[in-house]
Amino acid sequence: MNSKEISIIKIISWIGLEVGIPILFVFALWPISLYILELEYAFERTLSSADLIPLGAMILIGAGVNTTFDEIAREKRSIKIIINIIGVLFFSLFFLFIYGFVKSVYLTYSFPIPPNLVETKITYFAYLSIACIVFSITYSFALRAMSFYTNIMKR
Amino acid sequence: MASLIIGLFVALFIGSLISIVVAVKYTVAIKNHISAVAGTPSIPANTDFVIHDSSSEIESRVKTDVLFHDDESLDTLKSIYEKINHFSNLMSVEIEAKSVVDMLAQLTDFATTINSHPVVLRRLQNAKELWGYFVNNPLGLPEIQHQHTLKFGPHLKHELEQCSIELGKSISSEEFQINFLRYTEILENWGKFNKSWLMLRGETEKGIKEITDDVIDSGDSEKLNSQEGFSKNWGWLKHPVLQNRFDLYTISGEKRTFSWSPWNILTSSERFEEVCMLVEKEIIDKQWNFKAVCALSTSGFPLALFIGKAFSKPVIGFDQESQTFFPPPPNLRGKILLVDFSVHTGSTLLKAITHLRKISEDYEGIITVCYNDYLEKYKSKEKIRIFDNRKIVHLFRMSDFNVLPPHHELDKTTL
Repeated sequence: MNSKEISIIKIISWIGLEVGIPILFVFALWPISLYILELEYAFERTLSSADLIPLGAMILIGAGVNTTFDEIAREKRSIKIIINIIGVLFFSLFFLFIYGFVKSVYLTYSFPIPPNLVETKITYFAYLSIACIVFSITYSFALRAMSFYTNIMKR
Repeated sequence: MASLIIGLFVALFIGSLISIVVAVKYTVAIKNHISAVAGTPSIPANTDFVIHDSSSEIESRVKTDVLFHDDESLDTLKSIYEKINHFSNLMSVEIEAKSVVDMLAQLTDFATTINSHPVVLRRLQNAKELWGYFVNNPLGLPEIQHQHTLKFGPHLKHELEQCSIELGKSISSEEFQINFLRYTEILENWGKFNKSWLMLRGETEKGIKEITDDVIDSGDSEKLNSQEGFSKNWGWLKHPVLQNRFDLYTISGEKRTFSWSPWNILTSSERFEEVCMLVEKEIIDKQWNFKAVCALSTSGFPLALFIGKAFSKPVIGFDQESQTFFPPPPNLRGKILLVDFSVHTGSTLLKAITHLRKISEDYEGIITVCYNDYLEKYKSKEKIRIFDNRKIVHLFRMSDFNVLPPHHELDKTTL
C-alpha cells in the first residue's frame, strides 16, 4: 500500500468514523422526533441540548492531537501549523465551556417549553450547536489538509 | 444573552468560511501534487533516458527538417534544454520513442516533469555522479546523430574517439548550431583522444566549401576548391590550434596547406599563446567579472575556450544566422564576455550586442582580435573607441558601446 492509498484511507476514516457517524446519530434524532415520535419542536428538542458542541470539541481535539504527532515526526517545524494546533485546542476548550453554559441554561427549562422561549433562546442554542460543529469540521479539515500538504512537500 | 449567542454564531460562521477557504486551497494543492506525481514516469537512479527514433526513413527528417529547420521544434528543444539545464547534476537523458513526434513529446514531458516535480528532482539529485554533465558543459544541447538518435553531449565523445565525426553538409549555416557544437566539442576533446586528424565529409561541393570557409574563415574558398586533386566531398582537417598551419588533406592523402587569415595567427602556437596571455592579462587587470564566455563565431571559439578554461567559465556560442545565443546563456542576468577572432568581428559584434540588448544589457566586456587594416576601419567609426590599441588584441567594454544609439547601424561593408 503506497502513501497515497494510506492517505485516502485516513481521510475516509476520519470523515466517516470520527465525524460522520457521531453527527449522523445526533441529527438522526431530529426526524425520529418529528415523524416517529411526532413531538412538537423536534428541531429544538434534538439540537438545543447542545450535544453537537462537545462533539465538535472532540473533533477539534482529535485534529490537534493528530497534527501534533505529524509535526513531531517532521524534521522541520511549521510555525503556521503550530499556531493552528494551538488554535484548535483553544476552540475545543472554548466549545466545552460553551457546552457547559448552554447545557446548564437548557437544564433549567421545564417542558413543555413556552412558545416564546422556543422562538428565542432554545432555537439559538440549536443554531449555535450547528455552527460549532460546522466550524469544528471545517477547521479540523483545513488543519489536517495543511499538515498533510506540508508533510508530502517536505518528505 | 441572545445577542451574545448571535455574535458567537456569526463569529463561528465567519471562522467556518475561512476554514473552508483554507481547506479548499490545501485540498486542491494536494490533489495537484498527487496527480502530478502519479503522472511522473518512474525514473530509477543511475538510469539514462535515450531519445530514440529507430525508423530509418525518418532519419533525414530528424536531422534536417523536423528538429533543426523547424523553428517551433528548435524553440521546443531550446526550452527543453533550458529546463533540463536547471538541474545542475543532470548528465544524460535518453528516452525511447516510436516517432519524432513522440520523441519531442516525450522530451517535452520529461523536461516539464523534472522541472516541476520535486520528487523526480530528488531522484535525480540522488544520482549525482551520473547526472553531472550539463553544469560543467554548457554545450550539452541535445544532439542529433546520424543513428537518428537524439542524444546529449557525452555520447558525442564516443564518436570523437573514433575520430570520424561527420561535419559535412551540416556545417552549412542552416545547421550552424549542430556544427558549432560539434566543432567546439572537437576542439575541446581533441587532445583527450590523441588523434591528429579529423575526417570531414561534405555531401556536396557547397557543403565542403562551407566547411573550409567556416574553418579557415578566409572568404577565399575559390582558391581552396581550385586546388588540384582536392576532392569535393572529402577532406582531412589537422588540428587548427595546435598546428602552425591549417592543413587540408584530400581523400587520397594529398596535403594542402593553407595559412590564411586569421587562422595563420591563430594556428601559430606562439601567436596564439601571445593572444591568450594578453587577453588573460586584460581580463585580470580590468577585473572583469563574467559568468560565461560567448564566442561570436567559430573562429572566435578557440580563444573563448581558452578564456573559459582559464577562468573556469562556461563557453557559449552566437548563431550569426538566427542571431541567438546557444545554448541559451546559463543565466541571462549574468554577465557575458563576448569574444571573437575574425575579420567579420565588426558586424557580428554589433549583431550580438543588438541581440544582447534585447534580452539583457548585463554583459561584462567584449574581446575582439582582428587585423590592423580592420582596426583602421574600426577607428574610422569614431563612435567605437578602441580600448586597447595594441597590435592584436583589442578589448572593448560595454560602456564603450553605450555611446551608440540603440538602433545605430554601421555600414557592414566597411567592417
